[in-house]
Amino acid sequence: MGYPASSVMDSKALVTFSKVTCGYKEKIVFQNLSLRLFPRQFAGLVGPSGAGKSTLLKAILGLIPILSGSISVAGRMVNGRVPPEVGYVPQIETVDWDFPVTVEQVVAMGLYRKSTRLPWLTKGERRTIRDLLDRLHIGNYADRQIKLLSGGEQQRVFLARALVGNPKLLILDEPTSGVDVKTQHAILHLLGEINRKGVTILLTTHDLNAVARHLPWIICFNQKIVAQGDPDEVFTSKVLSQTYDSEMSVIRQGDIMMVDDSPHSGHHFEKHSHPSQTSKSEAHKH
Amino acid sequence: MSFFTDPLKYEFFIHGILAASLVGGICALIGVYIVLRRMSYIGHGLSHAVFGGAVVSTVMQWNFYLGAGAWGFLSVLLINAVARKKKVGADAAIGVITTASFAVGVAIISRFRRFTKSFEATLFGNILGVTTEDLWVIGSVVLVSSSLIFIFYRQFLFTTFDSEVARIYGVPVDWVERLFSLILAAVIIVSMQVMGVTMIAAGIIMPAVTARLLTDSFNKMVFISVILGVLGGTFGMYASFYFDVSSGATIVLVAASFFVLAYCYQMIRERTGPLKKEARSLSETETETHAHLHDEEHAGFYHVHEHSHEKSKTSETQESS
Repeated sequence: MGYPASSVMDSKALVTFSKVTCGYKEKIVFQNLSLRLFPRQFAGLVGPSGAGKSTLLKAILGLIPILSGSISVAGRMVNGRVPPEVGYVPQIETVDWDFPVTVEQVVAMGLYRKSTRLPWLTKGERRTIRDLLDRLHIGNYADRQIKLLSGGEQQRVFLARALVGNPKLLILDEPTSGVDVKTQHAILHLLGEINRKGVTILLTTHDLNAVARHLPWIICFNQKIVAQGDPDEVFTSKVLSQTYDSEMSVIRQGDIMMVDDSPHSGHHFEKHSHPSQTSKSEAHKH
Repeated sequence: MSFFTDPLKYEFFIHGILAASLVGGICALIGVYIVLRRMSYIGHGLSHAVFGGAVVSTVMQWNFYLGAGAWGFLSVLLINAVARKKKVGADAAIGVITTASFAVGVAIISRFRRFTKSFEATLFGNILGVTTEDLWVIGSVVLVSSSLIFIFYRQFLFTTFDSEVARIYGVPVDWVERLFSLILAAVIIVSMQVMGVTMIAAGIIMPAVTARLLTDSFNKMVFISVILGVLGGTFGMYASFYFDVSSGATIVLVAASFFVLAYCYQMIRERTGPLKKEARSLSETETETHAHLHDEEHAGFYHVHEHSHEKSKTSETQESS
């Protein structure tokens, strides 16, 4: 896990959504959304497909127009401009793995703002990239085409691209999808390490059990914030069923909690009541 | 030896071979970006669109290069704008705009019927008519286009790889796209006389696709593609001279034969030394690092513990392959 949630909430927000309405001409994705992310926070955004998670991320990145309200990142308004404080890791499935590009060339993209813009990498830029790749244990792969790496290594390449510009905020779109369970845990563990170095992290995911184990803060989202807080408090049958518009079960055995994340199958499991199911979490009503 | 030197006694051939090699090289260079963007159809479409511009320029007695250039550039901008409509899509946008533009040219020709012969040359290529002035124009476009692609190497590479993420990291994607459209339009116009409207697309795509078969490195792909483009133009001109066939066709046929050779080489390589095996061994032999959960304190920045788990290595490698 990263920083305890309680230790980060007393500082000034890094990202602020003030009554934001976002969407496209044909469809409003979310309305009057207010949300704050604090420095060093490590938060997971969960919700069903089509809930607007990716739109929320894109709104922070300035990639989609804000129809009303305002978003600020590090005190500056996002008005169609991508905040320089942000590092972004896209869904691994969206990457063109056949593209003939090396690990070093991919990571160099993350240095663009600070680069000389010369056609070639300077010695300093190359050193910065190689040092980071070494720290992520993929230094030996700098000259390799990205397709020739394993799933975990590929994810680390794109993480390196996001980190090389020293961002304050790291945004990851489904970093745990498309990799095996072991790699999922490795990625979340690594993100925890990065968070402890002071980087604020917001990620989207469908792996409820993995985030419950690794993340200190969860935002349940379905076109609005259903609830947010510590996973122990937020992951209740009531909140999840409300988030996913479908019956979902949470099984608790002592300190162990498991979400049955296949909707409609809740009746297969015996539900254990837990005091936290009354939800001490921060419930939102819009 | 006289096979190569004899044609050089003719001035028209020297002009032609210079034009063909320059055009072959620059088409192959921009072809790398076109192929990697998976927009191969745009070369085909844009050359047809420019044909409309060429006809209009002649009728209106405008300068051919300026008139057709402006027409081509506007066509690309229009394609980009229409392609943003999700219901239309890029392929349909290219189809609609370029064929409509081509139809303008055909309609004007059939109405006036005066300059059918010169437009036949535009359609199929006629190297005999390359003048010194044309060579200067071709040389200038090649110099300016290749210089811009070199100077904005990073911007073009990042935008081609992933335009949305490039935008996030501060690359002025819209500006880069417009610059590329301008270069593309200019290259197609200067290539028309050598390759002909109907053959330009092949001249753009074939060397780049062939190069892609031969390498996994972007820089090497650019280098090989340009070399193949220049060789295709040169050998294509000799073939055109000796077989008395239109230059556009012979240049494309030489490029196609390079492609066939590369394809066969790739097939043999896959059978004798599987690439997949190579990919697998890379992940297995190198230091395989996996992060695992630990309660220990971690020293250093982004420290990941290393473990050797044979099973996990295998499973992860299988996944990647």
